Amino acid sequence: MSLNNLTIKSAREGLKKREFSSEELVKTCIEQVKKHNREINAFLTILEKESIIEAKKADELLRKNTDLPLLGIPIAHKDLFLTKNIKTTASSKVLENYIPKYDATVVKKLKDAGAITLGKLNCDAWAHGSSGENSDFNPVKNPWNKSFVPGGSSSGSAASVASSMCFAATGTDTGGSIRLPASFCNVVGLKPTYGRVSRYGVIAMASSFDSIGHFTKTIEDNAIILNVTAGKDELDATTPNRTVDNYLEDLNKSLKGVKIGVPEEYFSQGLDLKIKEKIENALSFYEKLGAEIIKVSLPHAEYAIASYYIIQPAEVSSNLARYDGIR
Amino acid sequence: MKINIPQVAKLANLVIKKSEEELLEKQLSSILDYVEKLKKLDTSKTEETSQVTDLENITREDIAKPSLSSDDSISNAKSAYNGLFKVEGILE
Repeated sequence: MSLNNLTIKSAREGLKKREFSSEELVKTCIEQVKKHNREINAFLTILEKESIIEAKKADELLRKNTDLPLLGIPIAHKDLFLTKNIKTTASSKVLENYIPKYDATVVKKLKDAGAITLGKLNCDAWAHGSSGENSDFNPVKNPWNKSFVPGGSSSGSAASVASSMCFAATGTDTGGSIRLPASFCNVVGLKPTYGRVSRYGVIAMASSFDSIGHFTKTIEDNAIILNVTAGKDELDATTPNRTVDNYLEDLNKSLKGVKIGVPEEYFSQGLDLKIKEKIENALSFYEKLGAEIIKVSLPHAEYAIASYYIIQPAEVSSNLARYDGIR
Repeated sequence: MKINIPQVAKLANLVIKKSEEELLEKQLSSILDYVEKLKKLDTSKTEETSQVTDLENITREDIAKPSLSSDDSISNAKSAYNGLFKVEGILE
């Protein structure tokens, strides 16, 4: 198996056992990007030289048995995350020459955990879109079938993980921008609870919705990343001072005593029968694992999109007004 | 709902072809009609929600912390002079 097809967990084990180096991991990922990016268009910026230098530093630390959760693992960031001295465009021509002077909190935390930044990922411009076609730098394609969309707005993030160009990718979700591409590209995407992960240094869309998450190949890998990114940040006043659980420990907890509410409104008109079947299969799977499935009613669900169409554009226009006048 | 598309386009600083006006009006009115359904909802017994974090008045000690240098702050400016942003004069 080619190294870029490993999971974070197995790659970390291999690195610790010296089966391969971080430099090899980075190089196989870069090779994969070079091979397929022309058709998939997931990466806008490829940091080939920089990532190899970082990988060599990681290998040095690995030799000294330094233990960091992501040491030596190549990842990439949606181009909405500010990266110090690395061009950040939000996939918009308005910011095509913008070079941030600081890192987003999440970028810094991942770096401090030993992750290596391979590059910046395409998305719908300003994260406005659901298909991945709305980038000012050409659409992203679905790696499973290039005549299909990858879903958006975190299109490059999902497509890059699905095609094993990197081990994990960051994303943002305001109204589905992680959930949609994760589903379209068959990778694990997490939209954390609002406030769980700091938004500092991530170009804002609608501030009362923006949630910072990530994509991985497995659920376990997803928990490894959340363990690094979650928590209070003094620079984001919406992050509560609550304990961050070890999400890896919870992975193997039994579902006995867990109640899963299923809002009946979500099963109304418009739900594809195949999707309905998939959801029902998942529910019976959870039930077998000991969870209790309870039907609940969210009578306001019907009004969610109508409310979103008022709140979201209002917040977007105040957030984007600051870019008015950039020519 | 009647919408004055040329007026909306002017306010948004968008150039729109005459031929697009009819389609855009149809699309924009259907969005507004969709949102109209909120008016029919009785919220008199619904508790107000203005935020979801339960956090209030997040403050910190008023102590200066290291920040970006002046050079870094203006590094993305199209035009700078002497460590300052340089812009066209707006007052006579």
